[in-house]
Amino acid sequence: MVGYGENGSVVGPQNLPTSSVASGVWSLAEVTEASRDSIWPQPSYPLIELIATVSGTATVSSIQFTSIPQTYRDLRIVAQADSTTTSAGLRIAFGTGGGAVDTTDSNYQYVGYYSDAGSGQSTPAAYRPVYPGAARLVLPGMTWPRASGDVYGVAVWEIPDYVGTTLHKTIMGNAADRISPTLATSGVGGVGRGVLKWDNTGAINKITFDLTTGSFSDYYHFKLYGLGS
Amino acid sequence: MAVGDTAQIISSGTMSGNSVSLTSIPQTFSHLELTVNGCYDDSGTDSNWLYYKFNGTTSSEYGLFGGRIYNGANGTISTQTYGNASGNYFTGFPGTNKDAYSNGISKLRIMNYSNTTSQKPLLVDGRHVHYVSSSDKSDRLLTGVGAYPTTTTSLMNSGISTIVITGSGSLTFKSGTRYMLIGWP
Repeated sequence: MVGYGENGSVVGPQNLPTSSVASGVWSLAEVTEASRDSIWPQPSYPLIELIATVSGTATVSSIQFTSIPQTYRDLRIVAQADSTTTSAGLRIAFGTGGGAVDTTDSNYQYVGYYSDAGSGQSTPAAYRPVYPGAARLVLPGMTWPRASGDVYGVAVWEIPDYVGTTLHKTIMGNAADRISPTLATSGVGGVGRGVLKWDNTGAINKITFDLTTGSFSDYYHFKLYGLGS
Repeated sequence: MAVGDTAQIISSGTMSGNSVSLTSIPQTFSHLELTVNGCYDDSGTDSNWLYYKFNGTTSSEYGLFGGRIYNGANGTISTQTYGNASGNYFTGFPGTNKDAYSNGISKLRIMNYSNTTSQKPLLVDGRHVHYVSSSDKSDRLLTGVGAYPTTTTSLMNSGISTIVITGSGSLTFKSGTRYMLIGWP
């Protein structure tokens, strides 16, 4: 191997314009050695990136994320939503390949538990299970009409290994609903936790949210993040 | 860590065999988030436990309080303490008895894991579901809050640098099972 500073060699310490570099900065010699020996340090990849945001105030029947990049490992969705109809359950549908999202309930299974406070109660009722079943439901009673006083629901969902093609897809979610400025006195807030499985091994590239009744309205804000690589 | 620092993947990958050891965990983050998703490669298993052991500690130092539901159609939620006497933390994890492509999620969030003076508080979350009918179902949903170590002061003098993930008994992980350990600033 041709040594540093020899004719035909890579730039080496003998060719340095200066030997003084700032603390924490690679010297030219270090860059040269790393380049020659292909030992560049691994870059620090950002763990989490925003993929897309869907938000608005006009009434819409669904929230859609399409062409989801296949370059992350997990997905995370953060949402705040309001609906036109009381007791609207929030549903999800996944898509893979070039087709439409899968809205066949029997291809999904859900279980969760939920707690809310009845009218006039100041403390939540005991947790109670939401009976499992074949449904696209991700959280019951997710939203509440804003007309009753700026009431909305919030949720976070996590989808590990959405690009995997070996196992079925599972999503877990935590949420609070019927959040209201008058919550302390109205006593209608609720919290829920659930898990949903989609019986499909395809990589997810589309996600749609809709409601069991009514539409999103007044204010909705969904953010889709990608984690890992 | 300083403001503006980013979360990073400490370790991630596929899982096989019965156990995965995460060692030399950097002590430079604020908290850890460990996610396992997948299932056991065993058609005779409906659901079983997935264990987490810290720093090789085998004694009763895994205090945890939580609630769980299983086969939720039964309409019951149990509120119980788990883990303290077992020498592990654990959540439910599916086998392939009900679904050949089962995919459960098991997650630990460990706050202030590198402190060397006190307990490490954590959240435990394990979920999976299969429900075709009342006679064809398997689901687990466990949520808990814990603190490691429970009582022994000397164990508090070390940050969590090793986490071993182990399947119950001799169960092995099915292809497609993965883990990801994230350090958050």
